[in-house]
Amino acid sequence: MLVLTRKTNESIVIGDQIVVTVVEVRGDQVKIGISAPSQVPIHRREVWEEIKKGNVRSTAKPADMDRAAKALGQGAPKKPGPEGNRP
Amino acid sequence: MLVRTVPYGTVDLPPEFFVDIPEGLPGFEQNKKFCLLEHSPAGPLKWLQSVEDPDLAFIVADPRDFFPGYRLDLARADLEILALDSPRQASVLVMVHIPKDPAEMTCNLLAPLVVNPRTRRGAQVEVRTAGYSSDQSLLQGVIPAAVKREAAPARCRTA
Repeated sequence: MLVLTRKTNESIVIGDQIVVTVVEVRGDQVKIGISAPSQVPIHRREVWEEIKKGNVRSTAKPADMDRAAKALGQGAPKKPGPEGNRP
Repeated sequence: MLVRTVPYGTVDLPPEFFVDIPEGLPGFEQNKKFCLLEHSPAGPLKWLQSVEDPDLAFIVADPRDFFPGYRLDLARADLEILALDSPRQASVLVMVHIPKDPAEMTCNLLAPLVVNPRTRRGAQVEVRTAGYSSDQSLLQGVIPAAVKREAAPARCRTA
């Protein structure tokens, strides 16, 4: 890992489109500003890990759906094939 | 378009079933195209099926079917990514986890999949509403009143 020392208001440039700036340092908290193209996802790591874990747990097979649908009184799957759902 | 699906085998779907998720979903970034399939016409649970991976499907639901007060408060950058003027224009789905005992099923209210119905593009984003859990019990429908918390990571455009 590259480790750099920066002062308040100093920045790091990553590639040609991402700039990370130290906005404020107070005790053990650092406020960081990030300029990046809007298509670059930015997450706090622990939140991203939580989302990822949730997604992995939400992958499902038909047996999961049947169990859940039954619990919700949603009934048996309609065969054949799906009904449309416009997002 | 023919799609191989987890619940229904190969099905032929018209374009309005598809959702593009250009950033992918955390943990599944290589999957960018999905389709939404009903399980049963009247029910709240749906399938979010990867088009690229026939073995990958998620169970999702509209959170408002379970939590009528669910508030979608999005960072401006996320609205821009989705080309939305307001969260009210969006369709919203949350990931549902079904454990062995379905009475304990949970959903992720913290990071919903937000879709612009006009472009059919979506992204899984972190809402800015305080107190929403990534592990919310689905059948005990009490969620904190919507209070704005400190913003999700802010971002400004470089271009």
